[in-house]
Amino acid sequence: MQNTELRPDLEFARQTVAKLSNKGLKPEEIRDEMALNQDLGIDSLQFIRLILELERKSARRIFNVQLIAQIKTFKDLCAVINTA
Amino acid sequence: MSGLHQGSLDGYAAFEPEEEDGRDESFVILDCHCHIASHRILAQEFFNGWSRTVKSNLPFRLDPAQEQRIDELLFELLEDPDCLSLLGEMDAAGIDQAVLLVIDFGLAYKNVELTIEEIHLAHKKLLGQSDRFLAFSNVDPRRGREGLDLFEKAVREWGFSGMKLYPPCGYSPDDRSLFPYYEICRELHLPVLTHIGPTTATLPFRHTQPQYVDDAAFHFPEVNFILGHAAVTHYQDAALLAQYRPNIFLDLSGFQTAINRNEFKNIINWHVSRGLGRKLLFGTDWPIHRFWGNQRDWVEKFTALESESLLPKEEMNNILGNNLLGILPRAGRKHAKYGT
Repeated sequence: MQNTELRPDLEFARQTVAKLSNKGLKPEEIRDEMALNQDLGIDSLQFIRLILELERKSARRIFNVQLIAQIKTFKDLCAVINTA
Repeated sequence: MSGLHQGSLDGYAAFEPEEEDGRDESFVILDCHCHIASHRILAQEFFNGWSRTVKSNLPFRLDPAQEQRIDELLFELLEDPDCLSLLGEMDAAGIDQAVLLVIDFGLAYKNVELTIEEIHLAHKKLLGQSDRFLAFSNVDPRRGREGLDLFEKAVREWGFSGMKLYPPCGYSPDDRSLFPYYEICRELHLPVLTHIGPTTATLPFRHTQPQYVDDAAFHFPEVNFILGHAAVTHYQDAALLAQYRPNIFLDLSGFQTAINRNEFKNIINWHVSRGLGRKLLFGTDWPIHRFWGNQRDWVEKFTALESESLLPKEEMNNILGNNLLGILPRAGRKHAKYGT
């Protein structure tokens, strides 16, 4: 598996997830297997904010509807960013 | 999950499962509320209003580029005109059949691309291509005799197995102009599914409350009325109607939003405590909630209610499919099978 701490865009994803999470976690406390909704408290509206911020930061289109529906965990999110 | 059975045509009669090869043949998943995801079939003005509502509900400010991006992402939801993505997701979710609901926007909006007949024909084509689909016809009652003729052709000749109403387009379910349609539904044992609750910002919400169905349900006790979304929208008023009118059922589509708001379990408790397990119908409102999950997610989240002891197995099976089977016409039932 790709080390999500080495790539700047994945590190930004980690920071953004930590910022939008309502669990008060630090970026380094986010583990790959954590579910964005249940474990990190990112609800459907904050999830939109997450993808908008990730795309703005990277200045490219990363997501589409099919991919979005597959993202359950932080690892899934990183996988989509990796393949974009 | 194949080999469904011909049961009683009485709308409220219990479905009687048969055992075959040791399997529980009563287990079937029917999605009572889907639409063809197509820009040509769902009107652009409907989409525009929906997108505005989504954006206005976000708890943060959007810059113009982000607004545009949300429009693009939501627009992608409507890129499955042949229902191939839907079929794939039904396979993954174990959904045996889905009901495709026509909506006649032709009088409510200008510049609808397809005529209402062409929209019906697009549904008819899908019915011919896959026995995994059922379709409910919808014709705005203000179309007069010509509209009634189209509805009659759809249900008598083209294989449509129910009627859909969309009151936000500007009419009420208790409008007398609909009674000739209900007469046909009574004759052919067709259910009527009517939208309940708010919708796109570009249509009025008047006539979308449960009480507007009561007069029709009273005058046509042999016709089963399904209140779309009403198991989760205006659900307390709707539950009262469903408790006291044997011919009123509530569809669960939109439960995805209730899940996201952590309200769903309380709502299910509300219904179960009132003995409404036989009046609830599983539905997803495809493609509206694709953004938040796939069909498998929704089935799993719903069936998790059983493992959490919120719904006993029998009620779960009834809600997932048997309740709808009990009110579908015979022709609609015979197609039901999984894995084709």
